[in-house]
Amino acid sequence: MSIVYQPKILLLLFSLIFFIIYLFYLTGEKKYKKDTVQTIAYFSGKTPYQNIKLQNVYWGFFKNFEKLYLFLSKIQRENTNDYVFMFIIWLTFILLTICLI
Amino acid sequence: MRNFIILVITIPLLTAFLLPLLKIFSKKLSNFCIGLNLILINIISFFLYKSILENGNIIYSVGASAPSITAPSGFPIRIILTANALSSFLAMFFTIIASLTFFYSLNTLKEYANLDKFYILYLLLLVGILGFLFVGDFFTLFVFYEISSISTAGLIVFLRNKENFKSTFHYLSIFSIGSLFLLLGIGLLYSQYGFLNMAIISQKIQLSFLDKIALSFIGSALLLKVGVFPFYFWKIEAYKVSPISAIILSILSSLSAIYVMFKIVFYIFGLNIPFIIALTLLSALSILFGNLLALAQKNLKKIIAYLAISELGYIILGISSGFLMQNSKFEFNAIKGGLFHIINDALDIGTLSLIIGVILYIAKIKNSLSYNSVSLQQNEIRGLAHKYPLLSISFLLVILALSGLPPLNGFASKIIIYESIFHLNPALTIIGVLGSILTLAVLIKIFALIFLGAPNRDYQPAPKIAMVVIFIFLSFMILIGLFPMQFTNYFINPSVKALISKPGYKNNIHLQQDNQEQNHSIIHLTLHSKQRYFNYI
Repeated sequence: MSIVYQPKILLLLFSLIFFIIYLFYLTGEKKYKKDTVQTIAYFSGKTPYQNIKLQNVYWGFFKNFEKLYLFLSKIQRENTNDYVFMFIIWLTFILLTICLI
Repeated sequence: MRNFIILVITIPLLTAFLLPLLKIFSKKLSNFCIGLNLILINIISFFLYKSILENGNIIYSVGASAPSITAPSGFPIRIILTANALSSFLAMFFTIIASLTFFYSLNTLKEYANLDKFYILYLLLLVGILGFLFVGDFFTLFVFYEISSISTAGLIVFLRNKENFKSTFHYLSIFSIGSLFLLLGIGLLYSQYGFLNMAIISQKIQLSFLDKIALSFIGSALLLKVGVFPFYFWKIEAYKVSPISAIILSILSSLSAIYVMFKIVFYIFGLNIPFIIALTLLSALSILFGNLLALAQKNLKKIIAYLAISELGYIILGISSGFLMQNSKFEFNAIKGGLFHIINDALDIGTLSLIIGVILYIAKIKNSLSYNSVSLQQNEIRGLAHKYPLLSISFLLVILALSGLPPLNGFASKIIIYESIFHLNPALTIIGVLGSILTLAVLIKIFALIFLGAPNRDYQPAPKIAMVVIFIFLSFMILIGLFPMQFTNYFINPSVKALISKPGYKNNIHLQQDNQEQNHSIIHLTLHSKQRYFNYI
């Protein structure tokens, strides 16, 4: 940690980077017209879908792990019997690990 | 100085029982007394820590003619409290967190009825947490396990909605089973050795088949208290309906249970390797599943619960990997990383919880059900960065800290854990890094949904005292992140030495031997006492 990680140097480096970013910011166009097309981000090519919500940002990830999430939702059904059963199952796992290994 | 150990526990306990009386005179007087009590135990725990660093471990025997007499006389059970550098440091740190959280809750919970009952339970849970840190015998361990479980149940049901009652029922059902197994494990040890004193059992233990069964029962009950995967179900049920201050105290309760678990496994059962391997496996699963499940959640308090599970995984992974690498040069560092992460976890998850509490407060989500279950899906809160820039910056800092990014405290402890566990198994480091990436993904999504975009409703001003508490937490995080070497040298290294050596227990036995000389024979005395006890029965 002492050789690689020097937080104070890192902080100075971050400050320098932020200062450079600020310098770039100062060179920006100050006379832009608010609430016009000038303030809208420009995307080249096909217009992106406007109806995709931010909540669905990890949709692809969930789709890939659909089976895992289905399994995890099955064991978290807010049912006391399930919880007690799971406790007993894992206690048995620990008991067997300690006694048999 | 020896009496400080009992004062830290009895002062909040007595204050908790005094509160109903004080409330008769004035509500402000009772709040003032709680604040004063918390400041007092902060001072006492600081001096306790200082005294232990200067003079060594402390043993306190409750009810004996002198605090050092640990041999039972008459009834063969004696309440014994022990404190070393680690437990006293954790006590000092936890009392600071509990005090700050109390001032936070004064500001954010003021509109709720029955606050006096809430604070009684709050103090009792603090007693349970501090008692857990200082237990020296199994009887006291069981008592504090029960105190913390029952007071947590009371805090879960505080808001008194249908959801609260349901979650409390789940919690009590699971913990009644957990307590039962803890008691069975303690009974197995007592039936074999006739003692409940941890020091005596650690000397006499033979690691028989019955001892291993006792370890699995006690270990599982403590893992339930910690709430790592797969013993985490109660945590989700409890956190989703509890007030933020109760969540933070529950996190501290889990952290103190980690200390007790390793103390029992290491001191008493002489480092049971299969159990430590099982712990390492479960901690890796906690990191993975905690984050994977947090990513899929829409309820803010459930997200806190899952992230807390994942962070507990890092702590246990560090400490258990250190024990697995015993006698190698990485042992010290891995345990140091784990213990350092206890502090960082309490600060990071604590600050995240405080910020989420403020978000719920300013968004005027007061009707009980939505207070408990703010959904990210329904876009109830949006665009907070426009009106609350300081809160947004605080949240960004928490993202950096929890995801283990420099230069904040989370990075400082996680890098030590990653470096050390790499030498045990590189796959564990990969799981750790993957967990941090997933944490970042979870928090970035929350930030984008809540803080960015145009505000969609009116928000009330942020509570000032609560914001001050958040800034104090943040300043701790930044300071630890910028000066990790100094912090570990002053606070963590003595704690690691306290955990991996057994001075407290040797000392305890030594004191008993002194006592033996005074009383001709401790064993004779104890057997005589037992005989008297059984004759009495």
